[in-house]
Amino acid sequence: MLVFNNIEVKIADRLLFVSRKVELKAGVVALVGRNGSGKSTFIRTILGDHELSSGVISLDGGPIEGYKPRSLSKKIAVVYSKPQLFGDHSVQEVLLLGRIPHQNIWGMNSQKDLSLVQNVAKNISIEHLLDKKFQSLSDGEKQLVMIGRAFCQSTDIIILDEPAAFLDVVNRKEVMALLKKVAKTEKKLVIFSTHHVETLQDDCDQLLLIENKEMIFSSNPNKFKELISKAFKLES
Amino acid sequence: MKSKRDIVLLVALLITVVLLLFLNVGFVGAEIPFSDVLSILGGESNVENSSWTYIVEHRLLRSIVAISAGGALAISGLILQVFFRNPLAGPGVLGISSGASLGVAAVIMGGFAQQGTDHANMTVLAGIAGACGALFVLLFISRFVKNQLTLLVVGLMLGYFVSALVNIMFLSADQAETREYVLWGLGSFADVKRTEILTFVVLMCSGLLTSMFMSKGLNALVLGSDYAKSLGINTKLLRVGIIIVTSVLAAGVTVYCGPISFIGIAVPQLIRLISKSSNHVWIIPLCFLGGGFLGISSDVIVRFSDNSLPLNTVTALIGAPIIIWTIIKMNKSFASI
Repeated sequence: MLVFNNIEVKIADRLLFVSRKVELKAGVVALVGRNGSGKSTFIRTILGDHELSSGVISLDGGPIEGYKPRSLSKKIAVVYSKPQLFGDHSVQEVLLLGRIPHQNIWGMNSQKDLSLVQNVAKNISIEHLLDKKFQSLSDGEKQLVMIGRAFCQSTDIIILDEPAAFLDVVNRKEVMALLKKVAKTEKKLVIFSTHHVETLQDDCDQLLLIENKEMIFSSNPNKFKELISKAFKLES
Repeated sequence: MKSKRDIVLLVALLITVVLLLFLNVGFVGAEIPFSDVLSILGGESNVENSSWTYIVEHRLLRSIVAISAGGALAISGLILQVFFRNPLAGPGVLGISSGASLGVAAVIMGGFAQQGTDHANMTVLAGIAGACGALFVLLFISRFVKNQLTLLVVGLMLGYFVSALVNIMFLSADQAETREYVLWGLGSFADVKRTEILTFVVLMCSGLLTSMFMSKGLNALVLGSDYAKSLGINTKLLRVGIIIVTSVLAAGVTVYCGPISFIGIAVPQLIRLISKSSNHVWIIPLCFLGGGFLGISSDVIVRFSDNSLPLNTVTALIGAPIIIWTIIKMNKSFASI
């Protein structure tokens, strides 16, 4: 689905990290690294907002730069750590915003959009929130809705930039379980960056670890703990 | 369905605006029988010529100007509110109208008026340049100021700064120029000449159309620029579109009718409360008609007072309470400010 081929990520002239060839398949991928190691820049790179200094990221066989914003938005959906909304939207309206890439220039919601939103809401158990105002929800509920909005975009890939950064333990668990379920049942590739490394072997099946200016890939959950302890120089 | 409600609202507003248009053309300050008004507008020539000019120039034209100017200000305010993510934004508050004023002041008091026979075009261009300039200054400062409330204060300061510059211009202006500028500053829908009206209406309507084409982008922009981009919106193009449309609309109105306050902020807020839709395809035309409604209502009041009340006094009397009321009401729904 998503392939990184000998990439080199820089900000201005400062090298953040390099990576050998990595191929990501459907499943849940954790992106781990210390502050400033380049996780967010990497996410922006995948989204086409930041240029690679060398190498290629290819999506379904074609280089990511070749995608127009609109076609990329049908392939990759994104969730940022802090939900922000200007306006008095209901939860249903927020979910419908995920349908924008599939709508014509007037942004009218079709019957299909409405039933898809209904389904997503049912799947992630936020049906009872649909008519509520987004601004009246708790932080955990808001983030669930934002994740649901990404599901409504009907993309193969979902990228989440520290989705659980502002959530409590219970909500975080819920979000992780949800991501796992979706990746499994709908064969999606879910990539999320995180600082919560303690439960990684349960949360995901692939790991991208940025360490010492290099991105390491592992698809063996039993090794995650060891890799991370070594990278962060933690006593285990 | 929700859109049904918005269609009803749209039609109701349209009918109200048209009724007010008839009221303003046919009755207010009337010394001419309504049947004569109709036959004059119908093109019959057996009525006195002076009546024709009176009806057309003093009533019909200013009514059209009032509607399109009010509508333009409301759309400009709506788009600025989404763009700056602030329900209190508007061309007046952000200093965009002030920028236009500076352009106008430079033309009126900079001595261009005496040399040229027709300085209207120059005023328009100078006004748009001033408005764009103000918006660019604001965008530049907004890079450093993350707090949206602070940005409003910056906009207000920009306004004060501009009026200080204008005051300095007064020093070198003669009495006639000063008078022209002060009168312009009071605001009026009656000053657009017959030769200019077509330009004015075309300018305003093209602003309306362009903003309609930006609705999908504006829908996405409520989630912020990053999310909008991930939804396939060309945010760079949208940004340019927003800057041009809001400056042209606000500057166009300001140049021709004076710096009209309050309509730009009050109308989008009211429409958001009344309309149930979050799709700008509905909100934009609703705002245009809402602004047109407030514009022509203000003009009806001005004319009921025999043109003795300045337009800006009337819009402030209507607009300020609406804004305060909505601030209280929406305190909950816009938690982010």
